[in-house]
Amino acid sequence: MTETTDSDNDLAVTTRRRLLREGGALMGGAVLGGLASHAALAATAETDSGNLPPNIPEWMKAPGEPMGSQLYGAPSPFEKGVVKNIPKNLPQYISASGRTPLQDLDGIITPNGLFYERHHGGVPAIDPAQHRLMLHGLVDKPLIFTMEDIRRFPSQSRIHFLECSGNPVYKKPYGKTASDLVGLLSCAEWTGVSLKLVLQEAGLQPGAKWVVAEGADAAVLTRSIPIEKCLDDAMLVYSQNGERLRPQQGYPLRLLLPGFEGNMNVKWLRRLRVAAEPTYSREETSKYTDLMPDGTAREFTFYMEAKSIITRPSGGQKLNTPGFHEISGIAWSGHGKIKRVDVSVDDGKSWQEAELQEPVLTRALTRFRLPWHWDGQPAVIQSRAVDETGYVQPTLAELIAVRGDNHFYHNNAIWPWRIAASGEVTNANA
Amino acid sequence: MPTRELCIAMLVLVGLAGGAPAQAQSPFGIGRPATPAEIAGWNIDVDRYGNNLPPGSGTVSRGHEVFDQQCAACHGAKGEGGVGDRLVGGQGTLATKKPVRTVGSYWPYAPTLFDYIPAARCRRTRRNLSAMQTSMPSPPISSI
Repeated sequence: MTETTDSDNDLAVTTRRRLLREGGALMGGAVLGGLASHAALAATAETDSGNLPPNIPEWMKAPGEPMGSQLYGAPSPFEKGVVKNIPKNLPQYISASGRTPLQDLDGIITPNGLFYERHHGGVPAIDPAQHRLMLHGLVDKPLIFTMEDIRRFPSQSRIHFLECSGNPVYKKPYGKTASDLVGLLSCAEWTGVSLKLVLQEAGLQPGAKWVVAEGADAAVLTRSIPIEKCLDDAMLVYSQNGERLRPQQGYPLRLLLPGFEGNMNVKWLRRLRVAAEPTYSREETSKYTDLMPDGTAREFTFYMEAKSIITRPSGGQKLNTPGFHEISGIAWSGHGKIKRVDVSVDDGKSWQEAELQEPVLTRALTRFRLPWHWDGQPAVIQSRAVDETGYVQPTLAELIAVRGDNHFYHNNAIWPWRIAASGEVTNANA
Repeated sequence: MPTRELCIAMLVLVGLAGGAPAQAQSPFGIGRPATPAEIAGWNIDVDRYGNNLPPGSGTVSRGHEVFDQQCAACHGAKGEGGVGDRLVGGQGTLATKKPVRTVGSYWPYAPTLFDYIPAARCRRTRRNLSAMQTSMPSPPISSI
């Protein structure tokens, strides 16, 4: 069984559905600018709605919705097509994932409702009053914390990305959109307590080299984390983008290991066992290990390496007119800050340095931009990230040459988009 | 002497600077002690050496019975896979174009089965099997 289950067919169905939904929603609206998604294309034909100049639009002629019509706000109904990208026919309780629609988002912060999801045994409904965190093993004082206890510790907030290690796979069929390819990636501001403080509360004993973290979900997902990371920037997190964690993100408590592969950031965290050795759980032996061409496997490959992708224009979108278009995308590295992003608009023959949006944060998404004049001819565009260690994002061919195409996780390859003379954007590797 | 007074003043300052943050550092006195019984109830980890295994014993034939009843529906009558992962075979394939990763060919440590199955990490066994029963299927899976 494989970890991902989507196929080209599933994705095509998703896209068609979205087109139908958004087409209806946008009826009568004009497409602004020169770039349109498939969905917006359905609405390019202007109609005589009476809302356009010189007429006064209907929404100015009567008062709008009253205060309190939504006690928890939701996006405009005209944006209802911007939703998680969930493959059909998932083996829900074994291996389910839903992707962030990266091509529809701006900036670096992922809205909580669109944050990618990955779970191994469904989403538990945990009453925070009955949730406990147990800390034991090689400590002076084994302790149990309530959520109230956790929130008494000095708090901190930091912005970091999270990415699933299998994002995307190495073999065809490759996805059509940025979300299909690398949508198991999101970024948020996290609030919680430094794990170091909590470990110090119990007192680490000599020989403490690993911390085994366990989730309170039905999968009881278990991963071992080196003590160096636990004493560095690891956090116990209870809030995301200002509000309490969503159930899908580990409510009421999760581990956050900035830059490490997603599954190690254990959700619904209930237990930390300090140990001399890793526990060699299923999720760090059978899964989340990297089979090399010679039949050996790499284990404990924690870091998500430097990576980037152009989100606009990207697969599934269309340039409606030659002329000015801003190329925009995101870059990130588990090893620290993004130092530079190069963009090529001529199939990799030459590269230009993109502008990075400040602030450039460590182990967070960084938005990059490059102004571009499209001459209306077919083109291949792509981005290449360089992080502060000097590491340069590789091509897919370079990765496969070393790892083979039976490798499953940690694909951080450059992903080019092909722009046809018609303006349609497709996956150039597909 | 001015110099000596200055030194004392500096020492006091250093002491203050060093002392002030200490009040904001661990231990904070947060949390309560975990009892041995509480830890024993929650600590279901079994490491690669088999430490913390549940008590009990089994035989290959009894294990086959339990496998047939509890595992075969998802993993196939002979562990060939189905809704659940393939469990057996694949030896010698890891360096080929079509590697078959199973418990037999790819899992580095057999005790991980004991960690995974009884800890309810396997979907079906989390509700149906006692610790005693879950120690049963592992010998046949490991022995294939």
